[in-house]
Amino acid sequence: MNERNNDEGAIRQYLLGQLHEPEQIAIEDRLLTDDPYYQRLEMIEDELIDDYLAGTLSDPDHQAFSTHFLAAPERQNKLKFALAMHRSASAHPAPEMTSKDSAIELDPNPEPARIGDPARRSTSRTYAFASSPYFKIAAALIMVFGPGLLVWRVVFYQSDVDKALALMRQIHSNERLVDSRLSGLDYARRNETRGGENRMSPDLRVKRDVAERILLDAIREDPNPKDYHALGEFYLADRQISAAIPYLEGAVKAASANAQFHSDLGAALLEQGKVEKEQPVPSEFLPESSPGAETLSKSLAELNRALELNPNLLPALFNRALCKEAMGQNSEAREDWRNYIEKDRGSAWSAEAQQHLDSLEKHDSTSRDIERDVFQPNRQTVSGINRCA
Amino acid sequence: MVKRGFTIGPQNFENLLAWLDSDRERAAEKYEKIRQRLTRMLVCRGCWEAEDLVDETIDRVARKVDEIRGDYIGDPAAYFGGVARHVYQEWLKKKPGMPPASPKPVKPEVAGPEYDCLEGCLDHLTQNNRALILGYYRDDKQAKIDHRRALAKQEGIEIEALRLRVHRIRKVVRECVIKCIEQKVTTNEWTG
Repeated sequence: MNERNNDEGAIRQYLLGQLHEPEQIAIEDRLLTDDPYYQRLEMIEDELIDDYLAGTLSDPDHQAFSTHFLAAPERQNKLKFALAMHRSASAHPAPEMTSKDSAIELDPNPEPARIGDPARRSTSRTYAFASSPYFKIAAALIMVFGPGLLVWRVVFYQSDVDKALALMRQIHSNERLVDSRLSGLDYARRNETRGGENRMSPDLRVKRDVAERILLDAIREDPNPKDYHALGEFYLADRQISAAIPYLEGAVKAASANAQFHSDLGAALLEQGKVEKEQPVPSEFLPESSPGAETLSKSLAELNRALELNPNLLPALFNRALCKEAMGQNSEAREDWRNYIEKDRGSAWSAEAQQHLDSLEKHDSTSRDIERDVFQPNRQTVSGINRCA
Repeated sequence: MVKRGFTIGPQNFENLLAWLDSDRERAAEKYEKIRQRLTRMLVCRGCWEAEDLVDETIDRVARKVDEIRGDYIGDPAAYFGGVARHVYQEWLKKKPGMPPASPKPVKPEVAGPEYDCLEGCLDHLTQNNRALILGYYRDDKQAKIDHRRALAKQEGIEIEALRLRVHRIRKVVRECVIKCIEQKVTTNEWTG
């Protein structure tokens, strides 16, 4: 066993280009002349790709994978194949295993093409299963273990959408790309630089694509407000604001009593409003109100609705303070920040709220100073005027 | 530096096959095997023009085969390996430009030919093999490890045997996908 593990370790290092020449030659001589060894090397190569896609490679291995392993087009094709396999595995429900079947050959009498026809596939399986002698046994087992299974499903089961959301949280665990607080994400510091997506590592980009695929497939197969919200939040976290809004609006429309959905739609509109504010607009196209004001008003309405439904929803409170700040309603924004800090003491979000509050208070104090200087003549000037009089 | 295709004559090639095995059919099998493994070896060294370097390697060995075959002791594959390393060292000194860029992940809404073909190829697997390979790809990290243990137990085999079996299924499916893509490109199904 140890020898096999050593072999595997050496093969992995070889595949990643991490061995010195004499060790490389030793492995190459074996792969050229030893059939089982060659097969093992091929297998480990595939598993290395799986590990890369699963994000389980160490940093040095990850680096070697990107720069050395993927250099050859053949390997890039294998990576594409593995991505397609992952997609396919996510898209199809877990099929039942039948009798032992060690043959690897393709089925000589396959059913006609079934691409894009999952319903038909599952129906035919259902009939086959129902007519099998195992059906009664399965039914009995469900009666015995059903309650346990229910607990398992509620407590431990993770759907594909949950997995995609877990990936989203992982992708944005170090820094966030938007100012607002999304209901499904933990705290991460704000990335102040533009082009955060471009700085994303290949590993995270692959994960992002996998998550997006899962969420799109989920919506295609069974559209529902939860999945609409999940995809909208995914796009918003990725700063694809215009892609996020329609999904979040869809979620709110379908589940108008969900405070979390209103909060995230408010966050998306807030981000959109800020973008509009920053974009230079030709004067002839300027609306009567200032740029972004209309979108920010909509954002505020959504956030107010979220807080009506749940006054303690912290993301909504955080976002409303941000929204009021963006609208220039500084005194109301200060009030919301204070309220937020009071409700979420000691958290990283709260520390960020405090920074906003400090900044607003400093800004207001500077404004007051300027106002005083402009509108209240200083004593010297006043005394001079008096003298003249 | 590297030329494409062979430049050796038919007689040299026949001599090469004769060195590999006195039975011509078995010699052809060995030749294919060596070719495949040399390509893999060069890919493993990070060479993105492995096929061309293998052609060059076989060319060189074929030219020398009359000198070698009398004295050489051992598996001819190892000799090919030595020549391939030499060709590779030459390539390293003159290698052209940068390797081709890594593929961008396929946009979900635009499923690539791999995905379309894969669906068809998976449908041609026996139900158990299909379940096995999809199950193998379905989970992540700990869930994957647990799932694989369960699969191995269910199949009544060791994890190691399961890994090999999945590898073989994957290989069959990948070859099917490659053929499918080639076929579709030939019939202009994608290229229009």
